[in-house]
Amino acid sequence: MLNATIASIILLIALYLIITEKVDRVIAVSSGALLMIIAGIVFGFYSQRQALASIDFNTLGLLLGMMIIVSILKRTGFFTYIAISLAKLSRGRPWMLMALLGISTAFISMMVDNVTTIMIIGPISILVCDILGINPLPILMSEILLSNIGGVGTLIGDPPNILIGSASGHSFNDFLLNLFPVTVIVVFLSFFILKFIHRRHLSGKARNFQAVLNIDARKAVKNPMGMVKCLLALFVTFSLFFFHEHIGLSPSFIALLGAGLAFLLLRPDPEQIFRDVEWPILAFFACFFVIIGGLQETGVLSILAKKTLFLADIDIRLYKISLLWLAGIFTSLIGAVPFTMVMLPVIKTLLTLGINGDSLWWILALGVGFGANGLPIGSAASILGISISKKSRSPIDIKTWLSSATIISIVSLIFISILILAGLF
Amino acid sequence: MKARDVMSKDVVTVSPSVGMREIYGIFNKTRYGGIPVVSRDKKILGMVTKAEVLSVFLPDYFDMLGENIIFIDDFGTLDEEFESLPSFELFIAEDIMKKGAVIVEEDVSLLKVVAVMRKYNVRRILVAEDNILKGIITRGDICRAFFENGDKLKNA
Repeated sequence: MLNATIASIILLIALYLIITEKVDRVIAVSSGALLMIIAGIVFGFYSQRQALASIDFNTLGLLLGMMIIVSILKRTGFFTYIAISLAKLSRGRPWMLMALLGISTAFISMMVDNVTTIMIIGPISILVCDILGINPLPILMSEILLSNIGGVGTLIGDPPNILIGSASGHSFNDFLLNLFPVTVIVVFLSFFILKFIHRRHLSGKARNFQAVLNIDARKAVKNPMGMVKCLLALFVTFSLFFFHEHIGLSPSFIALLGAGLAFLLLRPDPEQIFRDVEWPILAFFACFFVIIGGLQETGVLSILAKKTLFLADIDIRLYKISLLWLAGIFTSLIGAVPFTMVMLPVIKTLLTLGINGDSLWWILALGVGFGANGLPIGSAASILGISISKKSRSPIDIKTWLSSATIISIVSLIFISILILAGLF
Repeated sequence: MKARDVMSKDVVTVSPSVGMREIYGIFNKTRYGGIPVVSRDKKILGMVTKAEVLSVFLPDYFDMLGENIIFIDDFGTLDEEFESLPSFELFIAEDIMKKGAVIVEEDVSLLKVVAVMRKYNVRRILVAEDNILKGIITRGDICRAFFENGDKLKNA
């Protein structure tokens, strides 16, 4: 019991530091991880070897591989090309621009990291709006929200999904089958809610559409041959994802294979590409794995899991809905990754206890994914998107967020709750 | 030769509340490219240069676009706004100045002045003690010191 208390306190301190941002989150979790190992050695519940074994290198490899591919792809100018081509297709109608950019962002987010997507598409979208003379706020908002939502649709779309995929052993196609359809519905549902909320900004037609038409999108492509090669590498990667369970390759191996292929085909300067890799995120994951590993060794997480079982005995659907909302609320406060990592061993324990609920994995993914939109601090993409908006004339403030994003988050979670009640999850 | 030997002591300054049109007037009349912004007690607050005045009209997010603006020639509504300059009167020195300034002390060597200018890529440098403005040195001042007083330098 002493061990469990000590380990829990270490986790709570790390979470407290993450929420209050008193220190950088990587410093918070790395100190937590070191403390956990020291405590583990002193009190005998966690060894260095166990700490190392608790790091899920499958997750880290998948993240690293995809980061490399996207870093190479973004340098070719592909994302800018897409954004400008879509802007031309909108024919200067603001709501159409929001539909094309927002919904495409959702689908791009299913394949690449949300932060990179927003980092490139966000500023370009504001520029297009400024050229057109329309308010960029709803368009940027739709990109942020729909990229958070879109990422839920695939195994590699969002870090929580990567974690869940690795822990549950579910394949890329399992994710597509279980999460993709519902994600697409929520993308469109959210789009229409956002369109209704911002209808005043989205009516009419922009004045200077000709200026946008005059932009030659092809000039955005800095390296046309490189772009084709990189898309080919991405295509090979995704083709392998579709079959990975049949050919016995792990998703992380495939992502690293794709990264290697992109390196080989384009031969970019590796030093530049590796500078783009978000090492702090990888370090955050590794350290948090060590913290959770220690917690798991003390048995506190399985005690926690067992304590919640009474709810499942009353009604399994009620249990699932509670998990969904708990995930949503926690994610909007502390971000999706810490909550997901705590829940993985809990759900594993529940499943060994004979709960009939493989769908708990999907519910966790949906809860953290749609909960991320609840508050502006819920995801890295939101934090970045808001900071980009502050550089435009229509900054996204907390009031705007609460009156559109939070509503969309709540409606998405209600929608999933209804699906659970209907027995679909 | 020290900084104090080449600096001009008679510095044209503005207070933080001076409007942009007046600053333009000073640029025009004096042909200076940069003017220190100082408080009433001569404490240095910042610097307004022609570059700062022009960048007022550039949206802040342009920095994030990187190379992506190179292939756009027609900025539509942004162009119209830039050319109509509706907000010209709204800006005062405090809004457009670059906060802080590149400062050296009076008794540093000329070589150091040149090195610091190059390091921060500025055309002029302020001379100050305890952040109180004493003088200004431009690239021209230093060149003059070298080329016109070359013999004096050698003899010194």
